[in-house]
Amino acid sequence: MRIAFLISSATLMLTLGSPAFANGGGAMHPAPPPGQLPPREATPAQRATALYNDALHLTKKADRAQETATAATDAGKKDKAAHEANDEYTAAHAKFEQATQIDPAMPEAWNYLGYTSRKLGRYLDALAAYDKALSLKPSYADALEYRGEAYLAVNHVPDAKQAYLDLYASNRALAEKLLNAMKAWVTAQRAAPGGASAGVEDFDHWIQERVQISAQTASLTRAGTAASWR
Amino acid sequence: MSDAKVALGRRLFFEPRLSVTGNYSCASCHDPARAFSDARRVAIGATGQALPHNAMALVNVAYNVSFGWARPQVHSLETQMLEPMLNEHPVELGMKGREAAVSGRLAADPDYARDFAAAFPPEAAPVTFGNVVKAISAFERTLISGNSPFDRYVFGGEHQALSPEAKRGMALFFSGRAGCAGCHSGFNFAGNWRDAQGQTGRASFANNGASSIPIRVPTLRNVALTAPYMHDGRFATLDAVLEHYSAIGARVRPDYDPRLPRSPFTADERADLLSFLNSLTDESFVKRFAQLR
Ligand code: HEC
Ligand code: HEC
Repeated sequence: MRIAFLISSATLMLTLGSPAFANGGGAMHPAPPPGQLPPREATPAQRATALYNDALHLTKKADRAQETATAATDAGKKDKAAHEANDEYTAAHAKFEQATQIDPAMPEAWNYLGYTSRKLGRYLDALAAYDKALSLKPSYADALEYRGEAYLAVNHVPDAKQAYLDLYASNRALAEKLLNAMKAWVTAQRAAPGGASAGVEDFDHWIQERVQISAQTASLTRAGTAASWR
Repeated sequence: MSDAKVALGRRLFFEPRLSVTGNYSCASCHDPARAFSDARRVAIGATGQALPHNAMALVNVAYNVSFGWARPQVHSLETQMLEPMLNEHPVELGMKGREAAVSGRLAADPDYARDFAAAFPPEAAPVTFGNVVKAISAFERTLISGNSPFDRYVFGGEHQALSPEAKRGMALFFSGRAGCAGCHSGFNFAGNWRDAQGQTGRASFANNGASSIPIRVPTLRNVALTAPYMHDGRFATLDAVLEHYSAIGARVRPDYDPRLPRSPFTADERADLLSFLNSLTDESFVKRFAQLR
């Protein structure tokens, strides 16, 4: 029942509130006060949290390096930044993986394990990690959006569409982000040697229709609407 | 909210023994086949007295901020329910002063004794007036509607679920020119907002030219089933409602709410808007509860 999902995700977002992980970045879990809890006496959840926070820090550094690489025009600079990003995603990935092993019930760690896997080109691993995050927290909008992008990366268009529709009900900003990724995907397909297939043109048509619906119904799920509806 | 409580509430919603005359229930004014409204201009109580207002449809009421056409201070289904049960001027169900007698009669019915015990397990004597209210509220919270052609189009991605007319009507409905979504907003196409204090829901009340005081903006979900329209049932059809909004646009007055239309609609635009309003009917909602009679 679609509306049940709608409502539960809206209220969940309201009640869970924190931790509010920004898509692409993310918030730190509150770390144990320094000095008070030596790592070897920490509980598994605390150790996983510490690893998660380290890894998140690395991920943000990697995101910045990747941006530098994209923006750079000088070939040497571009290459250096790209390598740096790759190293940092690799290091972050290892720590997120450790965190999920120590505390398998931490959806944020699975989400970022998916994110760093995707950044390293390991799309099937990424999908498995997002599935895990979403099985722990079905209304997890960031994971829904990331998984949508991972579906696109492996050309699973129907699943990407479904991800968009689920997000549309619960988080318009992230739905918009995924729609932009879809537009970029179509552009890339068209630029590919041999041009785009008929399926790509159908998808583009679908995207255009969603752009229109989204513009028309801006007031329907305007930021905060779903949450304040309760 | 257990299944047992919902099932009990569902039975009580249709229970004529709640009324002073023994032949009236919530469903006498809230008919499932009409999205839980009735076909009367204003509601009529058990003893035949007219109420001041049209019976409201009960659609997604679990998410209301306030209850009633013009009562920002009624905040819960439980508080709201005391009105039809206990009101004397005019009488609705007419339970005032008979609460204990009604509970006693239900307790003497073995079916109810069993169902109340299942719904309120730890209580030794569960058949109480308070528990009647709790059970009916639990049932009301299941009156969820979100599977109309509009929903299938916008949230389900079924691009054929709406006709071209309905799609044009939708664009007009959400446009600044028609202004409808300025008031009929959010998921329920209704006023459902907490005000700056986060409380009364007064932000959800407006004057659309059909009243002298601010009225709560009603939901438009299943609106094709809930004629007649407005708090006083003044319009018999949706066409007449659209005629009203068009007339407002034709002669704008300075005291009109700025969200209301600023120009009249053409015949085509009215037909498109009507198609769109019809696309808000959720057949599965009506079917799910129509069998309850
Ligand atoms: C005599 C007809 C009548 C009966 C019987 C009746 N109602 Fe109503 N109901 C109304 C009217 C009229 C309104 C609008 C009240 C107003 O003037 O604001 C209403 C409003 C409501 C609302 C508010 C809906 C909203 O969106 O704000 C709820 C909930 C409701 N009724 C539930 C019930 C329940 C539960 C019962 C049985 C215990 C019941 N009603 C019995 C006539 C009736
Ligand atoms: C200024 C806010 C406002 C705007 C703009 C507005 N409405 Fe309304 N609408 C209301 C209010 C308030 C009521 C209830 C008024 C009453 O009962 O007296 C209402 C009632 C209705 C009803 C009757 C619902 C029922 O159950 O009785 C329909 C249908 C409706 N509006 C459709 C529309 C359409 C279509 C538009 C755009 C052309 C629109 N409204 C624009 C505030 C608004």
